Amino acid sequence: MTAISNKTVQRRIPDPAAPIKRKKKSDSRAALGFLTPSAVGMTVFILFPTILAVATSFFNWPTFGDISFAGLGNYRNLFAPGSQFPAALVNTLVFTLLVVPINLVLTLSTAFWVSTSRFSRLYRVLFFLPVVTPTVATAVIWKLIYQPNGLVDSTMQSLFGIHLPNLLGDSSTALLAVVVVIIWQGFGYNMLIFSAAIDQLPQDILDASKLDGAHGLTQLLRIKLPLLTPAIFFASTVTMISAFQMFSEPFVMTAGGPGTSTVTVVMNVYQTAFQGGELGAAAAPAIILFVLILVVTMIQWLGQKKWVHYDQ
Amino acid sequence: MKLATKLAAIAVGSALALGASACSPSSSGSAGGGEAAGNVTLDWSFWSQGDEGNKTWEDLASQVTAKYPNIKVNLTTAPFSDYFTKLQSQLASGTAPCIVSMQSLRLPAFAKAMTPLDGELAKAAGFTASEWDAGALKALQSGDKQYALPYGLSTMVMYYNKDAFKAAGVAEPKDDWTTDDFVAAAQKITKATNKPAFGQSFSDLHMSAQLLAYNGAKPVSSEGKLQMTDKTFEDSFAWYSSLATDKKISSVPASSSDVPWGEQQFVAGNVAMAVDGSWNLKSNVTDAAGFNVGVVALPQGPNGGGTFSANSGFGISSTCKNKTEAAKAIGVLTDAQSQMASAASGNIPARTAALPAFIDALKKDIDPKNPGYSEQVAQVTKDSSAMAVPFISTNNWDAVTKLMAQQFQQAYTGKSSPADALNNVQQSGAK
Repeated sequence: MTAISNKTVQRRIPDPAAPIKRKKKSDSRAALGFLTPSAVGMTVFILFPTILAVATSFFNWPTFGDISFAGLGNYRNLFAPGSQFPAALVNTLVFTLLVVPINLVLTLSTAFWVSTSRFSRLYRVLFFLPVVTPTVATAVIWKLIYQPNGLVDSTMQSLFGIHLPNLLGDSSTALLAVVVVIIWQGFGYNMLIFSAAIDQLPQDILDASKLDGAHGLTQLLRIKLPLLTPAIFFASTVTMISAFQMFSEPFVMTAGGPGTSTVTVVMNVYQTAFQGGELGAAAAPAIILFVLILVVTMIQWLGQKKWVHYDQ
Repeated sequence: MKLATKLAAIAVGSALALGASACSPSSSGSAGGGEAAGNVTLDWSFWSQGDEGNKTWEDLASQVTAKYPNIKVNLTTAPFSDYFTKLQSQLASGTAPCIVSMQSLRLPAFAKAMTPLDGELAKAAGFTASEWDAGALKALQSGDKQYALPYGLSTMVMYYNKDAFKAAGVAEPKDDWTTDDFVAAAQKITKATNKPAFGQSFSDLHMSAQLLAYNGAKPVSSEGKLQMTDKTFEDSFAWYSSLATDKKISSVPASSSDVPWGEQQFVAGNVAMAVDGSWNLKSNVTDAAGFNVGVVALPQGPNGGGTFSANSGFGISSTCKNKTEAAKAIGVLTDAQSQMASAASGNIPARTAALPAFIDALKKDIDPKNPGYSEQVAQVTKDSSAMAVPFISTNNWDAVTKLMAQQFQQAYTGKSSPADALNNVQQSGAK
């Protein structure tokens, strides 16, 4: 028995130099093998199309017909009279500035409320339902709810005798009406993330803070929220990116109108490419949006050092 | 080490297989058809015609195989609102079906991706121009070349709710009615029902046909240039917008995405009148929510220009590998026998010889529930055809229609002046 044990021990304590070198080499090969599928996928489906989109943006590239070099022409045309891009950019920024903060405040407060409820699991399922419902279907239903004599208008008439304006047909209310739907649709996702994060808050820290006299709002602001900052950072980044890429809800509900009040950059890209048949002219706003999202996300990543606490 | 190497090899192999499968072309969809031992399968795309209509076209597709046993035609449909966007992507990526259905308004944009039906292809299709209505053929030509053979020729007409007219004590309109008659009738019905009598639209044909009837205005010049800031068009559009803003007799689309509005509100019974195409002569009655439907020519203004006609037909995509077989199939789909079968099931035909079959079908299927309808249809078809002019569009028409929906909503709600709305469309849409 002793001899066997010694042999085993001897095998388990190898020579410090040679075996490590050999192991490192074999790991590299395996790592390369495992990385290859995702690397190939990234190259074929993300890197290559991105490079192609950048190249396309410098050409007059009709859906069918002759392709010619345009230089910066497609970018200049984005700001020419008659272009919808400036309005689309402003609308996208307004969408993002409205959707991200409202979504975060609402979902975080609801998550705190749900975490204290006896029916927390039921609420999580209910709030998550809109996320898994097809966007086009919900957008169509909301359109019917909003339209004159629809649910909202009829309710207001029967309760207060007020006839609401056509919410999606009026340029002063259309964007806000769409924002409400976007927040409703995306509400459950962030709420679930925050709920999970709240459930994982370390009980010992919460108990210790109570002993130190932190209760109620003080504990919420000084202890719980700082502990939740990694989740808040993740949710804010993902929500911001999806808000910048807003398309389905405004496209189905308003098709960008009335006027240009709900045109977004992605809608502008889609309409230029697939309704206008100009792929080069559509690539230019896509590249601008790509750079914009990249810059804002980088700023968020750099800024997180100041407010996100990963250590507990 | 051995295990790691094996795993790495499996991973690389999987990646290559994944990459290969992602890049390899689909054998069934490429170039819209396949061929094996002389047998040819052709894909045919069409906008959806409803269950009944789709069945008719599927039956006609089987007639192709009956005449040419080596040719099989597969029909695929998409909603009209998505059809041309889908087709554009398919044509650009080389995956378009061999046989494509084409509307005259969209032909200027799509002609480059289609094959002219001349020479050997015209022979294969059995195409003889003299057998067709010249206008029906011309609408599907681009640069004097025939790109599609028509299956239908439609004009824009006015549908009305007979019951609503009767309840409001308004006499039913005749084919010679004027725009003043139309406004007076709408005002009386609006007052009687306490809801707008007319269903407004920003759809190209539905709206423009009424503007043409008002003062001869056309959105596009005969050279294919957008002319929405033209004085005649501005005047007629101001009148049309005023139906909602000043006269309060029309129901405005709820949003810019509601391109089919007036006709939908009509069949739902929410408005008493709406402009729609003669392609819906049967379905607007069968879909109507429990009321009797009447149909009449568009009301004309003092300088009215009649009505617009729109034409649809079948052509061959430029990427099709079996063009001769596709031409043969189109020949069958548009021949006299097919037109008769299509007309008998309620589709208004392009060949005038098949028109009686269409009227007879209405007499049999519709008149028992909606008395006198077939007679009205026979009259309106004759009157509207006599005053119809083909709708000329630009080569970026889909982009223009999108702008119309966005901007005209503003004019109908009074948020912008009609002139400003037209100016915005002209500035963004003119090429």
